Amino acid sequence: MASHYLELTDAQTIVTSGFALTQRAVHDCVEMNAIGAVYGGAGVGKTFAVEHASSTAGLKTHRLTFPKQPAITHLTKTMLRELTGIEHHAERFKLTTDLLAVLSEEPRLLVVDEAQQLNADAFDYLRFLHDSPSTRFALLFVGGHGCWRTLSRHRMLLSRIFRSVAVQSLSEDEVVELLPRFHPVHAGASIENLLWVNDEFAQGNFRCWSAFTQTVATLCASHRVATYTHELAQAALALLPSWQANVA
Amino acid sequence: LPEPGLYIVRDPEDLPSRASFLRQLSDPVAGRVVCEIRPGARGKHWVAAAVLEGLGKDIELGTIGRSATRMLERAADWLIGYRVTDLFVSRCQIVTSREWQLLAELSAETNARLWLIVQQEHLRRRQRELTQSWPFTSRSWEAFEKEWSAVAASEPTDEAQPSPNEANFPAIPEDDFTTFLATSRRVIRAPALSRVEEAFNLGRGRIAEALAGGESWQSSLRRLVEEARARDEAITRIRGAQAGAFLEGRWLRLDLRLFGLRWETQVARELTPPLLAALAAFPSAQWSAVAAVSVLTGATPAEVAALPLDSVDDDVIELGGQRWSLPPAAAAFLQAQAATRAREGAELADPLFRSDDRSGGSRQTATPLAGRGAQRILRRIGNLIGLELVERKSEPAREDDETWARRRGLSLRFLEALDG
Repeated sequence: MASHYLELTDAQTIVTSGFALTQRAVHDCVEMNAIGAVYGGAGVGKTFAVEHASSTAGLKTHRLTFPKQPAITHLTKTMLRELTGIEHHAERFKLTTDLLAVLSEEPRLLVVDEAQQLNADAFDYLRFLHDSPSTRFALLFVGGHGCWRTLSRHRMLLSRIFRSVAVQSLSEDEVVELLPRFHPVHAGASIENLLWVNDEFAQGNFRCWSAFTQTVATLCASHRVATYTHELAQAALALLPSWQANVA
Repeated sequence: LPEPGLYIVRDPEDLPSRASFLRQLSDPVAGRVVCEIRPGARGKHWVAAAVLEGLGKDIELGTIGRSATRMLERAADWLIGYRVTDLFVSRCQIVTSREWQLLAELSAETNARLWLIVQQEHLRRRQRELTQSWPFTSRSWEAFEKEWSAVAASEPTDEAQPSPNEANFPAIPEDDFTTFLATSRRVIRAPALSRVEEAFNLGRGRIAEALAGGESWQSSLRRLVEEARARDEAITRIRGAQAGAFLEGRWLRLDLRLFGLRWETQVARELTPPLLAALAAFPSAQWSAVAAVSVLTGATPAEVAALPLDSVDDDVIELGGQRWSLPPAAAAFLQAQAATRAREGAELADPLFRSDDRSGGSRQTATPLAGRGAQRILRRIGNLIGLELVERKSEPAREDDETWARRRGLSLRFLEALDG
């Protein structure tokens, strides 16, 4: 199972529209051995949603992260190391042949994180591996907004994307509806406090909400209360860096 | 003037369906080869590798050397061997005009039409210049697809692909002969069942003939097994023979473990579609041709090695005063080898095969292949494809029928003797 940001205890998995669409997209891609893309701003929950979906996909999943504009040899070696667990040393043609053989062995899901860092050659190489009739794998590109911009620039990939999900920040309505179910510390919080924290700090961003929840839950525990008041929320935000920066 | 046969096909849409359309055109035995330039490819080596891959060759198998020039020559020989009429090269935008020129020269040398598929809108300046200096004709994808759609929809004629009828004998039940046929009828569906019944009845009939005073039962079973194309087919024939023997008051015992072991090491005696497919993957025409001739004719390695170039005539090979018809894929192996030898300047009376000593390519320096060399090639191919292509000393072809049966766990007793 996927783990929550900061290993937050007592947190529940919340089914947002982005989360639900990601589950569906990943399962469809796995079913069809197709290519998909999940993109959105930092901290909106796309990695968590993809991890959750891949953990229930029922096949081997490999998470791949490449440096910015990787050389094809580097890409090939990284993939072979991730897929086989050992380092491979050979010329690129042979490495690619080996990689094609490994990718033909069994169905897999390859998740490429930070996909916006890939260049045209890298995308074309992944397209080539996926197009090869012998290989059997679903390919998922995950990344920030730049990810989709990069993908859509390359027609050879765009025409092969079977599912794409843009994961958005939570709206105010979603914050009010979903946060009380996310963690017990929010269950008794007033709507005003939730919206105030969202407005001042979280902006519908799940990673920010996790950081706030972790902090405010610790404060609640030290004050032996189940939920937070406006003062406790203020105290929690004072401990969180970006809020202080905003106030300053 | 003849049509130059050089085409540029523009496919800026680059849809997956178009990639699979192109793949459907691939059929080397029918004279069509589709290859794809790998991302990041540069230079002669990669172009040669792409063409060899398109021909279905695994360049990791055997020895074709590291020289890009030699690889490209091998690719040309194979194109000639398969009598390729159309060479399609996909993703040509990846390589430079220098590689396009190599492909154009390859097409001119092998007399194949060249189709360069470009999955982008614009060509680079040098590429544009090349298409003007060579007589290239431009085609849209739509026009290209229209021209080739009937071919893409047709069944591949590549006999190297095993046909379901020949290669896949149905999986048989594990029952012994008493319930074998009844269980088969329950679990195997028509038309596969008819193949099982046919094999079973053949075994029953043959053993009955043998026990009625014809040839020895061991010899009869040996023929039954050696003519079978799959292990399950051989076992089904033996199950039938067991039933036939039982009706004649005998118990034909089969040790499946011993039988299985021996089946795995049986020397191939027929150019079956799976074997042809395995041989077609070797990039060395000499290797594929030596193996094909050896299996087809049953000749010794020394006899194969001594074949002259003029023993090959289109789809026929002459060996020991006998003429053998070659299946198209095997004919391509020999034609490709003949093309290699012709490139080396060999004349008709020169040997078809030469030593792989890499001492040089000229007629004067080429050493003829010796019997031991041919044997070594057959052993190495056998090790790579998991089949025996040459007899081992410990298991001579002249193994008598009694020994053959004993080594495969087959024995025959009178049923009365069991009571005693």
